[in-house]
Amino acid sequence: MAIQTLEPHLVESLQSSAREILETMVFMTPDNIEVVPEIESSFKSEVVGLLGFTGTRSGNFVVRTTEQLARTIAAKMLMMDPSELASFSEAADGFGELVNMLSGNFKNAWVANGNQMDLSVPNVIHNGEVRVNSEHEGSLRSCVRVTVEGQVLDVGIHFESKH
Amino acid sequence: MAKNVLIVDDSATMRKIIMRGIRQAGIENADFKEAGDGVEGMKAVEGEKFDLILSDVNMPNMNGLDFVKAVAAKLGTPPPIVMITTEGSEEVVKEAMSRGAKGYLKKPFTPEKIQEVIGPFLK
Repeated sequence: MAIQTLEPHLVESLQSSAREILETMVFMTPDNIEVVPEIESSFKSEVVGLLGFTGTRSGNFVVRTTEQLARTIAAKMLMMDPSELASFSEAADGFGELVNMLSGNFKNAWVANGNQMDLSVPNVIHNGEVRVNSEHEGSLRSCVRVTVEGQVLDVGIHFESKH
Repeated sequence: MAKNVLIVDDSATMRKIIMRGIRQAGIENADFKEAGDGVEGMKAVEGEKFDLILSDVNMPNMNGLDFVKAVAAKLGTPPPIVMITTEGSEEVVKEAMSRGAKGYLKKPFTPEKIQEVIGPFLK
């Protein structure tokens, strides 16, 4: 099945909001932000942030990264050193908030087109596997890859088929 | 005199970021209390008087829009409530304002934006 992608202006809004959020709230400047093919619908990263949505279309935000970068992001949000985080749950809370902001900002671009979107709260999975339903004809997938401090953060959006 | 500020957000990280942001904005006269969702927020406002409430929108148990409505129903004349949200869409803002919110701050935010939106309530 050919993978369909989101409209370019929606992907561009995701790129710009990823940069703004990282620079403003995490105090990290991305080295690079690029659009990459979202080939898989199953993920087994060290850290996966998952946030579901319903509305005009249903689907999921799937944000993946390494444990090291998730810890760094959470620590920098709190102006701490990653070694000061008491447990991974603190890192997960901060990473979940990143997912929340990415999703909420995407929603603003999505509803500006006359669509509706209701967001769930984020879930952060540590060393687990996530599979989302975006393999049927009519599904949409896009991914923005952020490189920061030599680590990769993949921000994927998966819209399920309309039927 | 210190102002009593309630922060309602399900993310402990975000609550800390908001406190830090307010201090970075040069607002030094705030004492903070925290609640993890609208239900905890209601318990807080029933037991204590606040000068300002800052509330997330997207939370489990009781979301921010329902929390605003519940506070207004409970207190009659509630303290100002400012929504802190990623969802800056016109629809959500209108809904929050219609339920009694006095303003909103969109995430991500800067200290300058905090000063502009929250500062007037803490003078």
